[in-house]
Amino acid sequence: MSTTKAEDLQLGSYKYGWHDESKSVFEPKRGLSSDVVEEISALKSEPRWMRDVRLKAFKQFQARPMPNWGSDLSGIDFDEIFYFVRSTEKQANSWDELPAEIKNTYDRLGIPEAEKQRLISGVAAQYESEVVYHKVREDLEAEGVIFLDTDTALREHEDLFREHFMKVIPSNDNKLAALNTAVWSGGSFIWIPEGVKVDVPLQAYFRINKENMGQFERTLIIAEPGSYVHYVEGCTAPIYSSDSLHSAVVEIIAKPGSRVRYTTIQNWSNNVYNLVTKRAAAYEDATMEWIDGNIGSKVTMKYPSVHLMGRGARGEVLSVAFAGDGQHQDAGAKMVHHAPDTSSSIVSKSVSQGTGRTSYRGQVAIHEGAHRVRNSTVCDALLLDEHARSDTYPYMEIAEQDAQISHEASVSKIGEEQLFYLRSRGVEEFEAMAMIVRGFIEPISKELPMEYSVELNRLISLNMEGSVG
Amino acid sequence: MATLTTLTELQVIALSEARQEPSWLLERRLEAYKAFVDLEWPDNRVEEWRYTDPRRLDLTRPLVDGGDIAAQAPAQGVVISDLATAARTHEAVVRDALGSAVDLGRKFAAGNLAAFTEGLFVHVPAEVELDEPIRVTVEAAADGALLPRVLVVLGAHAKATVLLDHVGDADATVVEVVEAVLREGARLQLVTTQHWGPRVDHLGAHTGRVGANADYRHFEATLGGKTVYLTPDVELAEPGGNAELLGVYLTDDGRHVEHRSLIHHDASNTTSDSIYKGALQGDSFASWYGNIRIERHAKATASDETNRNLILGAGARASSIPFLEILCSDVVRCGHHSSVGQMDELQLFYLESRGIPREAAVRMLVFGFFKEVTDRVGVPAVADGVLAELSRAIEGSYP
Repeated sequence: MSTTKAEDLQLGSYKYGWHDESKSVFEPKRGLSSDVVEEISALKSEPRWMRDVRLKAFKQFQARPMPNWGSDLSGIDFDEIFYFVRSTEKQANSWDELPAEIKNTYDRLGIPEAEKQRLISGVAAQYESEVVYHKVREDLEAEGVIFLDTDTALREHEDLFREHFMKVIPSNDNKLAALNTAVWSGGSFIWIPEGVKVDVPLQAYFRINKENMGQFERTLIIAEPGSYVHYVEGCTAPIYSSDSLHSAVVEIIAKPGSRVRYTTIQNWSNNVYNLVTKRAAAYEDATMEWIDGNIGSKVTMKYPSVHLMGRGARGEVLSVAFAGDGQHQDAGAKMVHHAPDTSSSIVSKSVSQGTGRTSYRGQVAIHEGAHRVRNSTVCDALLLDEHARSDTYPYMEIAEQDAQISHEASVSKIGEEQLFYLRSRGVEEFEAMAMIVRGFIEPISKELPMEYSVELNRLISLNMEGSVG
Repeated sequence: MATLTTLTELQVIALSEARQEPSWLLERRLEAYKAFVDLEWPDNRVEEWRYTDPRRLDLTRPLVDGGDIAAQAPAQGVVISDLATAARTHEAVVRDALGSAVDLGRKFAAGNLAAFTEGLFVHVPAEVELDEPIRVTVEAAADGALLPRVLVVLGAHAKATVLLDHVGDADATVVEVVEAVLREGARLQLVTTQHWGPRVDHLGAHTGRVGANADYRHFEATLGGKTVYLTPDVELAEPGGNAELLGVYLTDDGRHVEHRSLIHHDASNTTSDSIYKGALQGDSFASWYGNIRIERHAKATASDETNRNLILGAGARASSIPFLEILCSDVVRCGHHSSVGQMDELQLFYLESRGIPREAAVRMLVFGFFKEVTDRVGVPAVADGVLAELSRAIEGSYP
């Protein structure tokens, strides 16, 4: 196996790296001040309380220090970022109403196919700061399912929104969550009525098209008792020479007996700082599952968490990360057990190639009173190149005597014997390596909806190109 | 009266002069003193002190001038003397080795080198293989702060076992540094036991610097003390070095114990294996942290790390943090395993169903739990003693 060459095909193989001429309807200047925050709120004609929330969060953002752990974030210049870009006057009702450039972008991402086939129950597409296209299957609407962009949800369902907003992630949770709360725009709002089981996934796409663009979507999912929903998001951004920031906040409330599954395939281009706060509260007998794929971005810091609040709640995280040249995927999971008889599991698979670095960072905390808790964590890392790096940073903090916690981790390189075996059967070296990597992440990819599973495998193969010489 | 928090340069000079140390050693002390004052006092906002608030340690206790380190040595050309004397009689060896395993990057380690009150030097010359262990005892006999420093140097292909016991029941704060320097092909087994009384705070930095193809085994039995914070580190600095870190710990009411180790693979073909097991009872806290760092050039390394915690009583809290930092893909194997759990009721049931009283069954299971570690200590007398102490200590703590 040879070292990845400097002219690694990474950039060339990033197939979503075009950008359209961005025709923004409104464009505030770079940088952030309380005026900009007020302007965003005013443009959206928001209720006063939301404006106040934003302004308070802005103060918290200013007061909080940058995280000094995890990745190097010194490359982020908050004064250079566009905090809000509106790309179309109003939301389109059908695909054909969208402006041609935006339609073109999403055509290339493959959305219309998915929509046409009606494989997916609802599709929302976010371009820059706001949702530009939205469609929910009629039968789901008839059952009372709400799947809207978050701005519209605030207008149309203010009480429901206000009851749940910021209840899982307070604005002062961390610096980036405060920033998101101050300038959030777009994202998905989902409410599943009691007992309703949505049998096909709801989907959203997020795309950054503008240089130095910050995307701060805010997603809120509320699953009423006994309901089920699977939400899938995909993210891409074109390649620009200067860095962009994606800092989303995702809050999920899984009420008693409900089940929520949240799947992300993050494929931002290699100049995006992806700093995301994702957290769920799972009540009695609820199940929360995060499936988290991190392929793109320059730096990702993301640790989907489940707070197990009610007896019998269950949390699961399946995390897969791929880091190529110059990338740092600092991903992981947190399981915080507040209630007795709760259980959780974490499975993390990471692959580092070239000078890429993957870190698993996790926490399993058992609080006082959380009796008979079970947790199992398994982290496996695969190193493809001599200069690749892998870290494992798990924290286990146990305050109850009857907890059963276990953690296993292993790090390995691609087995010479496996490679030899495959090559002796006529498989080319690159394909052999790709097969081994696919086998390595298979426990997670098989959990994805079929088209995403295929996409994940294809993205990883594309990113691996050039690593064999 | 000198204390660690108010230490002055003049006090450091006085300490050195009282021991008639050569000027090079005073210079070392002053260099360490400078590092000491330049470093911030750590607090629990920094990662290393996240689980043990340094405020738990009483640092205002006066330095006890001349604590107690006693040592017995077999013959065969082995040198055992206090550091001040060795600094004159074996200047070349001491100069080279002192501070080479534990550097001045940490506040307490720098403080120890600046103001160590009692130093011991053990030198096993090249090619000398000892059958009998060297016994060293650090004693906290008087109230106050004790800064012992032990330097063990094994020449090329030398072989030795050092038994380092800690005893004492005073109101004491012990800030200890133990450096083990292994030259090429040396084999050292450093077996440390810790029998402090309930009022002793212990901060201990034990580091092995392992030479080419050398073999280092460090065992630690942490059985006493109030607040205990130990850092058994290993520096695998040359190709072919091997290290084994073994530990058992036991906590009970009011005790706070942290073990924090770094195994640094800084050369190719190095191997390491670490296993720490603890039993927690009463209102106590135990934290274990282990980091394996494999540098980019450290090819063909193999490393494994295990931590198991057995919680025996309500009120006991544990944390277990196994880190891996792997900068080199050419690893033979690398992994870690960590668990927190209880006595297996099924195994207890099995033993009881065969007529073994519950209390004896509990003792057997705890015995078996720890025996996996103590079996690897090459000194049966110490291993058996520690096992007996452990099973005595947990008697009656499990219902």
